[in-house]
Amino acid sequence: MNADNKNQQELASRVFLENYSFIRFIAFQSAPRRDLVEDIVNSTFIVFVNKSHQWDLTGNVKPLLGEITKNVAKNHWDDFMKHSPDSLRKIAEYVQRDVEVTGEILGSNNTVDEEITALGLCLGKLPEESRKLVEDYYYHHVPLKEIAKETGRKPLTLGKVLFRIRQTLRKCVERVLKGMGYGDK
Amino acid sequence: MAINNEIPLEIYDLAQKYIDDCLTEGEAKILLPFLDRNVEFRQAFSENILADFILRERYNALRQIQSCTETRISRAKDPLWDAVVAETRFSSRTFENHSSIPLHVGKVQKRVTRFWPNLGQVASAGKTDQVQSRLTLPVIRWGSLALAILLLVVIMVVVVQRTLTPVDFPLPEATARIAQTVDAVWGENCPDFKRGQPLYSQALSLVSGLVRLEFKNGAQVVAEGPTDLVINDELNLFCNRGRMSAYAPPTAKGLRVTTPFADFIDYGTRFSVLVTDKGARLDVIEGRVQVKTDRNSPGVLSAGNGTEVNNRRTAFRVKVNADHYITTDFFEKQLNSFEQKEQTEKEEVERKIAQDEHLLAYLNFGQPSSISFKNKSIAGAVSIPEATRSHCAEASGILSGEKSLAFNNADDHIWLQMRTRTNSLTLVATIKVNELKPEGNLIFSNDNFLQESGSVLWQVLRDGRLQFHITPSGNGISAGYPSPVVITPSTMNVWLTVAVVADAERKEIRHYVDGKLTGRVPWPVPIPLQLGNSTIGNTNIISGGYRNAWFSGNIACFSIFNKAVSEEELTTLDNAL
Repeated sequence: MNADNKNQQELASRVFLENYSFIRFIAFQSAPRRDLVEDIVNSTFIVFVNKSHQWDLTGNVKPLLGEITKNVAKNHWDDFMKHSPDSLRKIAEYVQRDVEVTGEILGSNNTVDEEITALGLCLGKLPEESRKLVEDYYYHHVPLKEIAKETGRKPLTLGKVLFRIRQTLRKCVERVLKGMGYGDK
Repeated sequence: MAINNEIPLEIYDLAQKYIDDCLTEGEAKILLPFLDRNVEFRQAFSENILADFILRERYNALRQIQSCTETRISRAKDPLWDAVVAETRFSSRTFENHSSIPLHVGKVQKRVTRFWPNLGQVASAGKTDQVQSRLTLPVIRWGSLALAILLLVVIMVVVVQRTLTPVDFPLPEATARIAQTVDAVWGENCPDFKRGQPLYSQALSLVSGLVRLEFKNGAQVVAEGPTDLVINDELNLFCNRGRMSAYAPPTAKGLRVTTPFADFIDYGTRFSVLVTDKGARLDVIEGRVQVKTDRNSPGVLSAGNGTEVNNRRTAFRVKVNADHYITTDFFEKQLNSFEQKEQTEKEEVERKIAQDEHLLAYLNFGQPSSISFKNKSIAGAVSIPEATRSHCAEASGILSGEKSLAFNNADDHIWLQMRTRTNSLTLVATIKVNELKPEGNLIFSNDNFLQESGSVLWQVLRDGRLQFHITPSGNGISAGYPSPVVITPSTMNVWLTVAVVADAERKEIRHYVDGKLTGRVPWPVPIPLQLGNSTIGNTNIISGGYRNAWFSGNIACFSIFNKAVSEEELTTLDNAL
């Protein structure tokens, strides 16, 4: 492996890590299952670094990384669909279709930082109790059963509450993104 | 929404299970009809999945940000980090409307409850709702006016202090650490990793030599150059090429090594991986490893088995070759041989240093029971320096078997009796800082600092910069000449050779770390520097608030030259030390 190739691969590794969150985001959008994201990211890394001699890494590599990730994600998604039972596959199809439609509505230009910013704004608008639930569940990793015990509610009820909160957050994020200029106004 | 009345609570539970990737086939059959029949519920379900993902990404980043500064190399330009860091930076501007986010100040963890009101962080133009400002004023009553004003003053002082003073985050827990290196040469674009250095998400390019990494989950990886590794987290490594051996205890079960040709997932074992541009080879020495590749994947391999995967990602079973595994014995043998060579080189350099006519003092704390102290009779010097050690426990040094002195409290110091004057000056110290204190960490100070013109002081500041001070006129005021930040989470508890050169001829103060120039500051009006009685690692200064500024860490070597030592000489010194 000559010195140029080696340097290019090192640079590619660094560029990859700098765009790590973006790649994860695209991976999930293309194959909306959390358990696939790691595999997709790993495979994307391999493809990107191995072919690094082909890329110009000095400019904006996001479009390139996005395309590679989408292609890799498609392969993983197809593989997952092939090996999944019928019922799970149908659910996954629904989700994938809806996520694709969301992407079309908002356009493909939104990036993870805009979504995060929008999410931050929307979290700020939640009532105190809802925000605490989200924080306990996602930041402190407290299981719903434990939160239910602490708050005196039933776990199933809390599951529905969390479902509604997420739904609210998602709608808010989409509204904010549209307000930022993504998709139809 | 209509969905809430039609959908049983159990279905929301199944939806959660799908989000958590643990929905069984039977459960999916129960959930599916609700998605088929109810478009609104299906839409809400997809919205949940998207929201869940972005929430997890955000809070994972937040958790890491809370315990880390932005100096993590690999994530420095990651927009997700920028976005979350921007939210969590403690400032008097807008502050995220969270119930509480833990912030760490020094070693004391405080829960900073939402204090500053949301100052009206408004979403962009459009049909979005405005975030309501929650600024509320306390009800002012005449009887409480004084209390309110006092409270306001206290609050402003605290906020101003916090906005001007960097908030301390505790040292982040490293994903891994460089435990040992043997003659390691790193790639051009790689930092010069040192023994003890913490690693986070990092690309490592080892050109030659050996390195042993210890992960926080107990896994150990030994790599032999040329090897390119990327540490993603404590359970995920990329090995693009080279040879590595891994030991994964039960706490590191699931350690995954991704190569261009196959993924190897460990189930608690020892194994080695060899990657070339033609393929990858796995040898399982103990335990079991799962192999994932495209064709002919052998699945889980047990001890005594191996596999070779070619560049078409086709795997073939092979018998294990135990020689591929870099054993502890082999590593230790290489390490001993390397350290002996280093020791010889060091002694050679020390002999050369001793002959330098500009060397005023050279203290080697390698044998603390008798400080090896070389002093010279310098023409013009009033007296020959003498050194006295006070307290200072022995500690481990740079190489195995070597020692250093630990400075941990106000009683630890080395006192130098000397008296000389010089136009230019170089101070060199090999140090390991273990705490950044608000008062600073004194490396060297003249006892007459602030009182005598030309007296000097050298310290590590609270924010990790080094600063060299000169007293211009002895009236209690000094001029400070700072370096860029040197002590960061990556260099805390790592041996560094730092130097400051006061160059009267070039009218500048230069700072060096490990032989490399890191910063220069103009010294517009050089004055003769007075080196009277001085203290290493502490101070005898009774004014200026330096009383608690004793050095917190270890010092292995200290040198004083009455000249501006060149970069080449400093590199030689650094290589030896």
